[in-house]
Amino acid sequence: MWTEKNINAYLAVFFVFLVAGGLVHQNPSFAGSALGHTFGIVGSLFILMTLIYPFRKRVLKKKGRQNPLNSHIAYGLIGASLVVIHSAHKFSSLIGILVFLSLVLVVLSGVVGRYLYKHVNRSLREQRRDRKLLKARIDNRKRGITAACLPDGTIAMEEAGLPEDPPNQWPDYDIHEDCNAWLNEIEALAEKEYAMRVFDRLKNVFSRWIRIHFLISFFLFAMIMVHVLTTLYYGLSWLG
Amino acid sequence: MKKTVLHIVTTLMIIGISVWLFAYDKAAEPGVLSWAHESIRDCETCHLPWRGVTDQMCLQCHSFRGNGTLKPQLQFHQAHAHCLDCHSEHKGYAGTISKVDHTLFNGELACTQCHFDAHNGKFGRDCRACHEITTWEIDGFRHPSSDNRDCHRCHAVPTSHEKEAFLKELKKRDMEDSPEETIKECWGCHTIYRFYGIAQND
Repeated sequence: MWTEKNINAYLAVFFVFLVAGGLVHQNPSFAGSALGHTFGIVGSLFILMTLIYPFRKRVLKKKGRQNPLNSHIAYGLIGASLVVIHSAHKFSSLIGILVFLSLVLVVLSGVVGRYLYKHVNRSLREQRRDRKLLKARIDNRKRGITAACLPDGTIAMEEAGLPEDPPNQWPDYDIHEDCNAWLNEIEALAEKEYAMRVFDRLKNVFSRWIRIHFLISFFLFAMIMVHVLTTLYYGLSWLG
Repeated sequence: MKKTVLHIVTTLMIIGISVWLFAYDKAAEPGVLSWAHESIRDCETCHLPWRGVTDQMCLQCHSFRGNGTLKPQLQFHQAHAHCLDCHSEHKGYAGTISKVDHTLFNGELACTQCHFDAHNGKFGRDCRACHEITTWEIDGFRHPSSDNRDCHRCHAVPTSHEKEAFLKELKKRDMEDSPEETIKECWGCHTIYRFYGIAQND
């Protein structure tokens, strides 16, 4: 129940509830209070910690268990939730709105990447395996049929596993049946390949999510920086 | 090459937007100014860059030099000097910009300097003996002790006491000798626990 994967799912649900809370709750003074700022600062630090994952992946070339994606997701979701609490659903300044919107988009693009892209990828892998099996079966059948047919169009009964008697002696064997099965398999292969092309295209579309995720994240970090700088420029009232 | 150009353009765009947002005053405004300050256009009129709203910034316009310049109900401002403890802005055109924190006042400040005394001074000047600073409501009615015989200071003599029936009642209680005096001796019949319940005189 408390696996890393599950914890991230709970955090995602918690985040959705927090965001939806804006429909029924708003506190105009919380964000500017000492406690409100504490939530904002800690949340931003968590969001900053999400950079550990791309740094280890791209700079240190650490992958898999050495650089777990789950930690990246957990830092992001905890940070995003704390930032939403900091906002107390007060969205009045343009910068605050931009921070909130980019935050939600980053989380959304992260979810798309983590779950949908993974599923498309898995389906594609399974289809590739099925295609390989199907192709092997088609090749086998093709070899059998080719071997059974003589160049003059007659059938080599022994190769086909049939007695060398006149045609009326082997009414049970029907080369058409074998050919039909072969054709069906070829048809199935064609369908499989069509589906794979569709999934491939889908994968290409989803493969762009990482760029979108990166782009919005970059924008989010820029907006957080502007938000912090303007807050410091215009003064922290609770410090006065 | 094309990718690199795209990355550079995107980065420059985001940096450009950030710089513009930082430079554009209204982008950081957390809410509309109240009607009292609506004429202020420049944020730096109140916000000292990197220091925020200081008392000196408020005092540029709101001067409290000497008690003589203040209305009596505003003289408590002398007791506390930090404006932001009670006042805040950007709460909308009709927003309330004052939230008085009574805990900030010192003991020299009399409640009646700001508040109307509904008791007309009959209960003295120590309002906090009964009232708390967070609410006017008090827990239950606290009547002066039963030894206190100054009922008439708060309770006016009702018109019913001037009628024939009242005089008859006094007679019944052998108190009819000086009705003018007796009418003020409420404790002769009433108790402090139940004013409308007349004590039975044996």
